[in-house]
Amino acid sequence: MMQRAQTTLTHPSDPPAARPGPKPAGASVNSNPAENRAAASLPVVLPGVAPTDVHPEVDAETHILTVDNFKLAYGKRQTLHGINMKIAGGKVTALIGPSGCGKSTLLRSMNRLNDLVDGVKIEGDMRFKGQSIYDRNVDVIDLRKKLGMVFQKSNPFPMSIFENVVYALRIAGERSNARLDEVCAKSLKSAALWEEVKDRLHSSAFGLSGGQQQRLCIARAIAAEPEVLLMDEPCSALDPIATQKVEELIYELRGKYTVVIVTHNMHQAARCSDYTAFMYMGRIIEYGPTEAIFVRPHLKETEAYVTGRFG
Amino acid sequence: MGSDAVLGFFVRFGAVTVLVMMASLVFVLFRGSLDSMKTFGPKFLVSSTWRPNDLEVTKRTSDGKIVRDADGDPVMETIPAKFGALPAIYGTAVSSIVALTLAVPLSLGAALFLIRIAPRLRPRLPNGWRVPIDMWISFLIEFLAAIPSIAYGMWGLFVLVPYMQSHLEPGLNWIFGHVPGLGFMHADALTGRDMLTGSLVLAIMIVPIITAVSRDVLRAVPQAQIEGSLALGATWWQSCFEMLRYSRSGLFGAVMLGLARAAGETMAISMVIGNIPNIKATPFAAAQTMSSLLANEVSEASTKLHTSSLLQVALILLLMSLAFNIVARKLIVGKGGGVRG
Repeated sequence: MMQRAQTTLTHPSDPPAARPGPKPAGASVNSNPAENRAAASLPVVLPGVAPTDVHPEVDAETHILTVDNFKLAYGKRQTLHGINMKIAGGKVTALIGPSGCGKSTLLRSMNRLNDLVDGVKIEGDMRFKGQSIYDRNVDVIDLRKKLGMVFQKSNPFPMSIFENVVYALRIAGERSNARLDEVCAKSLKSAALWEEVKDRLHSSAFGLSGGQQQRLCIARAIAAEPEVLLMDEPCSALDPIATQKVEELIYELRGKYTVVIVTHNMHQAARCSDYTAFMYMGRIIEYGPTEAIFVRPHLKETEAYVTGRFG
Repeated sequence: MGSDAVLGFFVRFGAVTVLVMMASLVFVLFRGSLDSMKTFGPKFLVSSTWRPNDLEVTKRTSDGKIVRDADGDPVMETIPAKFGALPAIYGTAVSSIVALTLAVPLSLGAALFLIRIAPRLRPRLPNGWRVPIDMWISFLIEFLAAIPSIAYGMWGLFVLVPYMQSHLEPGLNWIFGHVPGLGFMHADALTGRDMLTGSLVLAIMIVPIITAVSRDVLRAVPQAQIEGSLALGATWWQSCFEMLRYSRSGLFGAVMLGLARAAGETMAISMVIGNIPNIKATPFAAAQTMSSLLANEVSEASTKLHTSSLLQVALILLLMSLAFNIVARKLIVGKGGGVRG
């Protein structure tokens, strides 16, 4: 375990084994609304000087993506303060944290989608399989093909289901119809959508339900044959049944793809991720195996967040 | 209660007035063109003769011999005035389509620039202020759309016509004369006041409106669509194309608005198009549009049939513009500038 600056961050005094499981130490606080409010506004000790609490399990993995002291500012607003993170290949890593903590920004930095934003300032670097992402000579188009992305709100193109799925191949200039058909079927099957749409591949993608549209977007991302799938709150606009399907899908995708998922839904992170990073105010506070983060977090701030006492 | 009733009456009165004006406009044009409709029927739309006055000619037999009376003088006969709107309809259609062909790529390019490039191009002044180039360009484009058409017409007449006659048209005419297959567009004389110049002035006049409307339509494209295509490895151009495809119905509406303006434009085009009812393949021949025909002849029409024919041309123009506007409105307003999910 890493050495931490004890001055600003407080460790739970109990050893993890002695802690009462998922039930928070301050459970009684929840019963009293007034005190609860006090807990919510409890000034979680500002993570100014402390390095991220990284559990040793993370370091033991094979990493596909590493973030090296990455800083990002929108204009004068510093959104990410020196993020260091190693993401395990073939695993699902969840980024959790309260709104505005920078988790989406971090995710969008991984395929350089923040390049589009006006006035963005970036320091530090990320590496994908050892290759710099922010180097001047990086082919961004090629990079984005390797790091596919699924957005918060499904964003199918105004085309047929088929054309949506093969979009990445089309823009890359693929002309063979046989190949397009093959990729379309394979991707839709991977996204667990094939059975529902195989008879209407050439009708508009807007005719699909919200959950189907989101799975279509996943199929579209898979069709580009990425190595990493970046998912930015993929279920936030879906009903529980559609959410369950997408979560099952994410579970299926593990191993074939490295998945990085941003979510507001703590149960979702708990259900479908291998590793979880808790972010707060532009920093990663604690990063470790999902079970450890939710059941026996090292830090009080993490515990407060995952038990719903603030955020 | 009282003020509610008064205001209620007032707004209803306003709404009804608009309807009544529209209906009476159509009614007056329709009633006025009855004479012409009865005389020429549907042939009015396909005949290319426009001869407002009766013609006195020597009478000839069927084999071409001059008919003479007892004294040996030629017998005169009167051929009645004849009206056909085809050259004007043709002129309106061709000049509008050529103007659109020239204006649409330019306008879409300008709109894409305003949305995708200009906002990031705000040069910083030494004192730290940033120059909002996009806002200035937008302002100028809207200003251009508001310039009275007579101003465009005078600019066309005094600047464009001489330039076309002495520089651009000789070059084009040479190409038409020497490239095999284009010979049909070659002209013997160049006046500068012709179909090409007319179309060019129209194109210049409709660029601002198409640009302004398509800029608003493109601005409504969700960022998610652009990011969606970029995240799949689209280049900058491919993502621009994706924006155009997403908002295609709204853009089509913008083009239809431009078309409506081009088809209805009167002052500017009647100053530069030459106003001769021609149907010719060469772009260097003088031509006539429905609106320029009306502008030139309405005040001089002396016979009932002449007036009636002009009113029928006006009716055709009104119905055409109405159709364009309805289609454009449906496409822009109905779809909110894009395709809905």
